[in-house]
Amino acid sequence: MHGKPLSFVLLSLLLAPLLFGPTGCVESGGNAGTPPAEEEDLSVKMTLSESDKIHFLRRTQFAFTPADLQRLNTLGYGPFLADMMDLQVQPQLESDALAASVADADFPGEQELARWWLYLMTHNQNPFQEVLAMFWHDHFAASTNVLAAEARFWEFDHINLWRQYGTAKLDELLYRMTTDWLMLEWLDGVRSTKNAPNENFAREFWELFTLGADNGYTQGEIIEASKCFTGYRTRLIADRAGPGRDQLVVEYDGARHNNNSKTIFGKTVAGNGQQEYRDMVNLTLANRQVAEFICRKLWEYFVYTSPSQALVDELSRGFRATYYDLKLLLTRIFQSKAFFSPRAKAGLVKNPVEHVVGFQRATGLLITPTRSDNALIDIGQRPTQPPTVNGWPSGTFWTSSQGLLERANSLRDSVYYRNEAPQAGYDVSTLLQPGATQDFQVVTRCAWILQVALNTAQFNECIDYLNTDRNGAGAIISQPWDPNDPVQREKKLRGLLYILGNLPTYAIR
Amino acid sequence: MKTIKAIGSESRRNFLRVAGAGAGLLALGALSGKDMPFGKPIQATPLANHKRVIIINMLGGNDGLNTVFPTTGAVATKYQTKRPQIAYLPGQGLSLTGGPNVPDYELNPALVNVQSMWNAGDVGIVYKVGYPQQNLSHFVSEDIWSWGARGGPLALPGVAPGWVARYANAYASTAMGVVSIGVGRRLDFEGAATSPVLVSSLGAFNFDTDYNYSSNHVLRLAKVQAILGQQPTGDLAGDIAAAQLASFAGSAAVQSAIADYTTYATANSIAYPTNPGSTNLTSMGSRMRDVARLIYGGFDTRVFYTGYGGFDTHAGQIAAHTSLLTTLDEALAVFRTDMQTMGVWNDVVIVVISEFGRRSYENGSLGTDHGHGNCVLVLGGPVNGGLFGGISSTDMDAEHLPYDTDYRDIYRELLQDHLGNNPAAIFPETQPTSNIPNLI
Repeated sequence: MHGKPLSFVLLSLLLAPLLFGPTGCVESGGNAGTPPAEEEDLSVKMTLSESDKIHFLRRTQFAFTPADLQRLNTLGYGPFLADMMDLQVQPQLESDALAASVADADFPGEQELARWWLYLMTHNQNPFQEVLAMFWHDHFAASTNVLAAEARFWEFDHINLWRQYGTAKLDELLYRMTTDWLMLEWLDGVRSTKNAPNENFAREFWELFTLGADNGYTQGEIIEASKCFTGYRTRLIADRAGPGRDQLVVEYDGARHNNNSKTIFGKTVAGNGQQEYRDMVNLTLANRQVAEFICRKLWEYFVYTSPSQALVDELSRGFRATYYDLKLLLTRIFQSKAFFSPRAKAGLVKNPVEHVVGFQRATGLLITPTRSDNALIDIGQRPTQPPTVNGWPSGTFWTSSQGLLERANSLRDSVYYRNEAPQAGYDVSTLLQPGATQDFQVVTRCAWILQVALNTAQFNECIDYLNTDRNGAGAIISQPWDPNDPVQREKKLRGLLYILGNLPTYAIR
Repeated sequence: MKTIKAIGSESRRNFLRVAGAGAGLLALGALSGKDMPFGKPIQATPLANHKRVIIINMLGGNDGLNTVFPTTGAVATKYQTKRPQIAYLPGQGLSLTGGPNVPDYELNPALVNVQSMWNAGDVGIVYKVGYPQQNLSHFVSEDIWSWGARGGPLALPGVAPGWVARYANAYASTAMGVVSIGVGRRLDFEGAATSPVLVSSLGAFNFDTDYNYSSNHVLRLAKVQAILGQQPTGDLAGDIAAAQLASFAGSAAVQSAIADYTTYATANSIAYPTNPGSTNLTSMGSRMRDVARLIYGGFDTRVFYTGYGGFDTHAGQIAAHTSLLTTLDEALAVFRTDMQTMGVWNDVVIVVISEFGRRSYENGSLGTDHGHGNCVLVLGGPVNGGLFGGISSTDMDAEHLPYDTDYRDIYRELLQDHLGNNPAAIFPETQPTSNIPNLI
């Protein structure tokens, strides 16, 4: 029908490392040799291959794009890392995001808040800022669904806490978290008083945020800790945002604080007013389990699941030695040989946000934040609204039948809404390399952009797609690929990206 | 491992139905039973004598003490004293003197329709349900319920971690044998050999088309399926491909069942509860309707798992708890009518669980903190109505209600006497006490 045979087979063989990698790698046996196995090796990998760099970009930037790769090559790995860890405020981006999604920043709606962050995720030139913020949002999970209209503006500061302090010292991040207004509302801190301390925050502070379940604390200590976490309250301030525009704020009221001395981890916490929030952070950080808990969680998110205890010990030793400097910890992880080991590259399941945002960033097929939000509600991961304080599930929890079907539907949105503002006028063929527009070159290029692995049979199905169509009567007809036909370009390039985005390897990062 | 076949010409036909284009051209009669990989027969008819269990999980820790509360004697006085602002007084709830006649307790005033079912002898209330060494963490406790083992997967070497998965592997290994609706991929399903169907709602279980090129989009979907069928098995990508293929087959079967059910429900004026001032169904209204749709569609599901959240009532409990129980009550009422209309009310048992109860005394925020023993409601045509166990005055002295019925004993009873399956292999962990309530 459309001559291809030999050249494609040859091409597929030549491209094998690309087409089958990085997820086609076989995990090595890992015998206990004298030098640490590569997957356990935290020493710096000095020379990075292109596949290493792409692996790094896919793990940290929502998606791989050729432009990011070029920038990494120009800057060098060290400076690129330093750049992305620097979570400075970007005034233009911040104001664009607000303008694009929020009508009244003093009284945002729940949907507007989700759209605001999704705009940032799809547009930030430093996507790592949002990837890491999403990590902390999942870890210190709190939802806007408990906020009244007068309080919803708190969410800006809440999300910006993760966006701006995600690479700070852990004690700073924890202290700001304990006194964050949404967190105080979400886990009943604003209702925890001198005579009626509420255990909710104290329990989750240790169980989910710092130590891990039943890991070094008792029910009695939870009660003691809940006394430290007392004193904040909400207050409605009339006309705070203008006439008739009352807003709710959170304030510390010393009279509501339980200032008795408490005994926690065998130490006495003297009555110290609001300072006890810091005392609790410091007392908790004196437990080495915190470093292990955080290191393991970061490792499992960015590198691979179930790291050995020896590796976690080694990583957390360094974390404690640097006084809990998250920037140094993340840098160490991303520079390590283990990060680039076959086990790390064997693949983690993308969470839905990475899937939806990543496809847009990789292909330029942007959809409105509203559509991204709707897609993520369907798949079950709406940013700003984690289901519980335990955050979202991870890994293969996301590969349910319907979750995968909804992922397909979010890709459908990206290929379908071509006339809406975010992509109106966008020529999808700019993804192709000039002069490389034959069918096999198109499939190869698009597979590279989405970093999916195709075997020969799958590759040939894609070629077949480009060279056929389905007529109105439902018959499959021959229609040789013509890159100069604008209708075919639109229809089939979008279709090809949809097909490739539905490959199982696209669901893996 | 996975039992999903590669998509060939048969499922291609299913897929064309779901894609919409050309659906009218396909005669349903052309599909034989084996063409329907999801076990759904051509004619939408509920399976006869097919016993089912529906689990409703109240996530967050339901306050059992305020769901079914004591009204007489020292136990009632202590209940009122320990909860001066949130206790219900005698007469404020709904009497249980109808049907099985239990004069010492009342039902939460929101459970109006549950009271009617109680009067008909269709409700069992099991009090003081829990497990050894109650854990006060939502997540650990939920996991313990999901594992069906206090010791977790370590106590069950070599078998699936989730008890629903163990059940599916032993007794319901078809594609739709166990189904989760609206509560995500729960740990209960972990380890099922057949990729379980876990949907947020049935209506969303459908592939959207690209209206700019809808005919071409059918081709795209066909290519996706062809490519998935060529994915090697045995690794993560292979597992994902299998689940994707299941989503193609499943959505076709489910969408046809929805259409069938809609015709039936309209003809019989069955309407699930909506949110105030809206045409949208309530959370539990929507989920119970989805259960009904699958039952009507003739799917062979044995265990449905659904639920809703919001029960972590640390503060301002009364209003929130009333609203939550009303949501349940209204949905159960329509569901019962629905099942009776289909003639299968005597085949279904609903069990309403929660990861733990709440503290016996109220806290300073008009709420209650995490507790231990709890009450579990069991509803359905086959149920022996009545109260199983109860709270003593000594129980009320404690900070936490103790437990005297292990939650697994309820599941054992449902498996043995309702589903007709031996529960021994599903709950193999040794437990300190066993006290199986005669619910069925």
